Amino acid sequence: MKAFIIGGSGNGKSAFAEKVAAKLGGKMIYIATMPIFSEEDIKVVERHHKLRAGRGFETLERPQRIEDVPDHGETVLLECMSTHVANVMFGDGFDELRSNPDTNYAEEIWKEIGPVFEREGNTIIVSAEVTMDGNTYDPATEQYIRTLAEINNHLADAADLFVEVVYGIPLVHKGSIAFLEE
Amino acid sequence: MKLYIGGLGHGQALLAEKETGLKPEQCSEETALQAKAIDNFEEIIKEIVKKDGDAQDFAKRLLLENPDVVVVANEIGCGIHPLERIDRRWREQTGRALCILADGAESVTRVCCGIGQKIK
Repeated sequence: MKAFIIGGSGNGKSAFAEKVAAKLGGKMIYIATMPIFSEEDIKVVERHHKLRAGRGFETLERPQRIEDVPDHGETVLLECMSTHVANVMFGDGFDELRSNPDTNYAEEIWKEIGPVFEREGNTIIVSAEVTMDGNTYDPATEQYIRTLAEINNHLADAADLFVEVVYGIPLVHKGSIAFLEE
Repeated sequence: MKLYIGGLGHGQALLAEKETGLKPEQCSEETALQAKAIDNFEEIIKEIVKKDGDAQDFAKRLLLENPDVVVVANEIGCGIHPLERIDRRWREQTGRALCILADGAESVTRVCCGIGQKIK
C-alpha cells in the first residue's frame, strides 16, 4: 500500500501514520528527515522516539538525501515531507541544485521520492499542510510553499490511500481505512 | 461537548449559534470552565502558553468540568512553521489541546466557507 497522510501542526499525523504502519505490519522502518539544530529539535525527536518506542521501528536518519531506502518488502514510514523539501531548498548538501537559478525543486525532489513511494512493500509518507495561513512571505518561502504543495499533489495522485488528519480525526480523501478496524 | 472548527472567518461561530442556540463568547481560562459556549478557543491557549501553562491539562479539565459546553476554534496549524518559539508552541499546543477536545466531544463539525461538515 502507498499511503499519504497530511495535516496541520499538532494534529496527530504521526500517531495516525504509525497506527497505519503497525496495522500493515512486516519489518518497520522509520525514515526521519529532521535535521537537529537546537534543544527544541531534540525535544521533538525525543517525543517521536517515545511515541515509536516498543513498536518495533528501526529508525534511519535522512536529514539530507532520501537514499539507501530498504527495498525488500519492508513497511517504510517517511516523516516528514515538509522538512525534506526545506532540507533540499535551504539545508546542507544541495549547493549544486541551488547554484542553478532555474532549478525546478518539485521535479528534482519527485525524482527521488517517486521511486521510494513506488518501491516494493508498504510506504507511508507524512506531510504537512502549510498553504493555509493567508500570510505573504519572502520569495524563497513562497517558492517553498508552492514546491511542497506540488509534491503533496503528486503524492495524493500516486497514493492508494490519502488521509487528512484533523485533530486526531482521519478524513479519508482517497481509498479506505476499513482495514484499520479489521 | 460540541466542537466547531474552521479557518479564520469561515463562519464556525455563526453555525455553532445557529445549531445550538448558544452565542459563543470570548472566555478566559477561568470563565471557560463555566461558560455555555466559548469562541476563539485558540486565544485561551495563547494566554496559557504565554504564561508557560499546560494547555493539554486545561483541555482535559474543560472536558471534565464543563462537559456540555460548545467550543468554537480557528484552525491555526496549516501554515508555515513560525519563526518565534512562542508562536510555534502556541500553534502546536492548540493542535494538541484540540485533539483532546475532539477525542472527548460528542460531535466535531468542520466549517468551510459557512458550510459545516460533521466529521465526528
